[in-house]
Amino acid sequence: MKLLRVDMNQLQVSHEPVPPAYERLGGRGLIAKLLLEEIPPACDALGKYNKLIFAPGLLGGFGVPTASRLSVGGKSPLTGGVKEANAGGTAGDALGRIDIKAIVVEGIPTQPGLYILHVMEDGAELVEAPELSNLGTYATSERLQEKFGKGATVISIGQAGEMMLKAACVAVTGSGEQRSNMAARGGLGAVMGSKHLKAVVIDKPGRMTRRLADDDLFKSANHAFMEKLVNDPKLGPQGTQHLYGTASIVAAVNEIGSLPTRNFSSGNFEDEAHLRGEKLRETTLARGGKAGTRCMPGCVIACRNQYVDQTGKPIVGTLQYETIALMGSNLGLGSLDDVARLNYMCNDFGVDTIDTGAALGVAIEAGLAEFGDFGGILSLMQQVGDGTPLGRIIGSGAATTGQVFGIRRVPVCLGQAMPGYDPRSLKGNGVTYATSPQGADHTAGNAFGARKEVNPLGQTGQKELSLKLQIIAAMLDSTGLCLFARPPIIANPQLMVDMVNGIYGWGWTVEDYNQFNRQVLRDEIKFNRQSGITAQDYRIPEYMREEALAPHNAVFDVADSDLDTIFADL
Amino acid sequence: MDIEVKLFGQIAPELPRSQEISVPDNINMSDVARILGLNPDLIGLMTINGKQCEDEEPVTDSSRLCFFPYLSGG
Repeated sequence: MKLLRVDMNQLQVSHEPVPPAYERLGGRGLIAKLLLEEIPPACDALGKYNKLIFAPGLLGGFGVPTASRLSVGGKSPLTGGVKEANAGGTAGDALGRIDIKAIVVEGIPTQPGLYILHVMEDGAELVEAPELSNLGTYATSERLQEKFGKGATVISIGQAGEMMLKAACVAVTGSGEQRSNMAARGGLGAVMGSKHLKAVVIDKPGRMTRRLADDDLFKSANHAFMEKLVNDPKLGPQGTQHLYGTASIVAAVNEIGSLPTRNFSSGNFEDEAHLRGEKLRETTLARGGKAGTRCMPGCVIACRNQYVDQTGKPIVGTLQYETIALMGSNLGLGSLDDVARLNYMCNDFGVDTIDTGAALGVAIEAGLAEFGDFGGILSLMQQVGDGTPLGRIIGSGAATTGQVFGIRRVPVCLGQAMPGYDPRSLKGNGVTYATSPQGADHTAGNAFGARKEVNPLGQTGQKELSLKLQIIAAMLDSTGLCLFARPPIIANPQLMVDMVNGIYGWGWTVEDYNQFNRQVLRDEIKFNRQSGITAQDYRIPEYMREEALAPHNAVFDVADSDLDTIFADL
Repeated sequence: MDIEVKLFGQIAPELPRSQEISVPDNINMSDVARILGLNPDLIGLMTINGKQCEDEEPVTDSSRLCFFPYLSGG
């Protein structure tokens, strides 16, 4: 495999063999190692020393179902630490097929200008693209697919990335209507903007030509994995994810009192029934939209939807739980139509719906609009794309918005907004938010739905549960596997070991796999420490330890000593 | 005793999504699931009065019980 180096200072591209230190890494693990090896941890995230990395996971491009996610990484302008955010779509598969382990974008142009990187099967080039300036991600990807072919994958930023707003994300196209798959968290769109890179276009690859180390081993493990997915009533065509999508959890998160409501001031939302997955499916199908579509080639779970308006016109490629929580209940909005409109704008401007939703909640608490007032919220959201001073503040995320308006109730950890689970009623997630090197991020170790292990409202066992989940998340993010496909691998890690050995011939054991997963976290923790992040930064906001959350009157009361020692035996 | 039962997702679509029923005293969550004829293999998460619980959790008068399918946060 090879690395594609893109020097934005010299405006040159080059391919190089994968250095030995990176050979057995992929996705998130590769990003952590590369940042440690190649950038000064204390550097300016929007400066010339930071690097932006696009990397499929170890399984990317080999046709493993649900395993083609693309990791995007760099130093985060939002958290000041390591950042990996991954997205579905076709990029992970395309890069894997053409033997690219990672694209590493370095430096900053010395002159104004805007560029696209065109990646072909046998080369790459930087092309000036001033005509794309200030376009949203939808128009950008449409124009580039008109030029390079409908089968090309487009990775792009919108206006927010160009403005280097700290909640800016990176959009990846998928097949069909799934145009917006977001590497959403941590402001990586701003890093892309800082490098004057508007988009990466990857030509549609031909047939896979890469040789496998052990064809039979890979095929047998891959087949067994797929069988497990398809035949599992939780995951297959009768599974909740396929039928109701990620929104299937709205009612349950509300019932346990953890649904962010009105800037995280309650764990229950009185209109949650209008936001449920069941309502989403019913509305979508009644209007002629789609349910159970897929974001990645070969996905057998197919949890996506195409949400349409009352006339059947598509609004967004998929409406997801985190967006519904942060831009619905968190803003006092009980209408999926309203959430979908805001979701479209976030996708187009290229901002994270979680951090932007949290920022809007904080802005409303500051008196800039009212909870439940869609018109007022829409007006604030429009300002993000327009780049007004207020819009730039909101587009810089919840932490910045709170600082500017003097609001103390700001739901962030390590500068990054909390996703759709209030940590006071789901304390395992609070431990993950506080301790993950990625900042507040449910995908770094989500305790929701864990059974027979810990009481979500108790203190006991939260640290151990979070650690276990964080190690699993590191595996998922480094292999390219979607988190919904994790049950068969958790039940039988040998399946993953066999797939990796079948592809690469590394002779991994289950213990090697375990150490691989743990090393991802070790590298990230080391990078953050060298960035200047201390134990005092890995904390839940003080108000969440003091202000009780309805309906359970819960505060976050897991001891700091538990947070500080979670990785002691990593 | 009387309890409120709510069902979600693909659990027993033939039953009302929300109903009040009378059940014997001294029963637990799995007893209620059995009385309703729910397929235990499809139950992924249960709550009683908003608190997550397991099969053995005692059910008390006037409680609100929820049965959810397997869920995964995302």
